[in-house]
Amino acid sequence: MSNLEDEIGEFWNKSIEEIEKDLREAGLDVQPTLEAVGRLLRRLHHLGRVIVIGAHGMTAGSKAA
Amino acid sequence: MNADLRALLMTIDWDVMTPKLLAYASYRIARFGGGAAIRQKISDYVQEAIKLLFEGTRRFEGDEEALFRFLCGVVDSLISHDMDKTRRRGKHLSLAHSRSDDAAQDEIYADLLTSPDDPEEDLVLRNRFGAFLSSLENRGLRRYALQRAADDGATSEELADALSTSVEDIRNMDRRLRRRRAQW
Repeated sequence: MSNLEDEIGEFWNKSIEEIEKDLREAGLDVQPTLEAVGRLLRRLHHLGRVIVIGAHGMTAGSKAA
Repeated sequence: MNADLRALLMTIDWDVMTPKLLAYASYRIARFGGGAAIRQKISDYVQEAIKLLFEGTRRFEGDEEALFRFLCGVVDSLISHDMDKTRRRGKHLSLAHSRSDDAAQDEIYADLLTSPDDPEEDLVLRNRFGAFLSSLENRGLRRYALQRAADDGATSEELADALSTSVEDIRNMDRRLRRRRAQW
């Protein structure tokens, strides 16, 4: 496995708390991106490209249910 | 979109996936040595990667972790593309700074022609751009159009500095170019 793959694996294995800490340290606010992704998924849903709506407050599965 | 991917996407918690992608993008930009302009686009890279997945522009097969790895790869390529563009722009600006002769302009033009992101699409664009350039009788305006294309995204102040002219001149030339494009 390459270094890059290892690095991606580290991000994958981090808990959401660790990720939020990383983002705070980098001075990044995740909320605007979550909202933008939510809007994007809703738009794709309207276009028929997504059958579920995810992001911002609920998982794709729970929303679909 | 195939049934497996559709089923997988139903299980994705984007409230977890999105921050992870954002953190990864931030880390990679730091590793690439990206400046403030690139950092400002972190959120755009994440959104674009997700959009490309859903649009099927980038094909994917696998589980949730594979999906994360896949999206990280797309984010990487988007950042790397912008970094290359920024480096080219810096090179062109410094070339214009150091030399203002026709050879420097030819060098910029050659670089524009040999660094396509999508060769097929670029060929059409380059041909159209070349035809537009040829239609400009005014040599100064032609050179400016070339510089403007090479330094896509440069501010009027940066261009004025690179071309040793005033910001007002740059704005005038932009107005003239817009008129010519509209007539073309």
